[in-house]
Amino acid sequence: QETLQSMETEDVYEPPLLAEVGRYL
Amino acid sequence: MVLLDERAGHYWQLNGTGTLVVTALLDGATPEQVAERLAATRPVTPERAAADVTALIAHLVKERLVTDS
Repeated sequence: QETLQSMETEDVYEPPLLAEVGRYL
Repeated sequence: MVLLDERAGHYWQLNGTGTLVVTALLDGATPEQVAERLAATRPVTPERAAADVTALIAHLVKERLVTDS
């Protein structure tokens, strides 16, 4: 859970989104 | 973060918040913990953050990029 602890404060909230980019981590 | 699904022949992109959410989940956090942290660090209500995290996970499952264990 290092990722959680390292999350810094942001002034703007951007909802988490997944978008398809194209056709063939 | 880019996700490549070779089986379906598609590749996907997560935005910044999506990358944080997925990375935190892979790191062992629960969806509830991720939503709480989002609400604590961004101008979003806990309810909206929880709904957004749930929606992202549902989208990943729907596209078979993750399995629902």
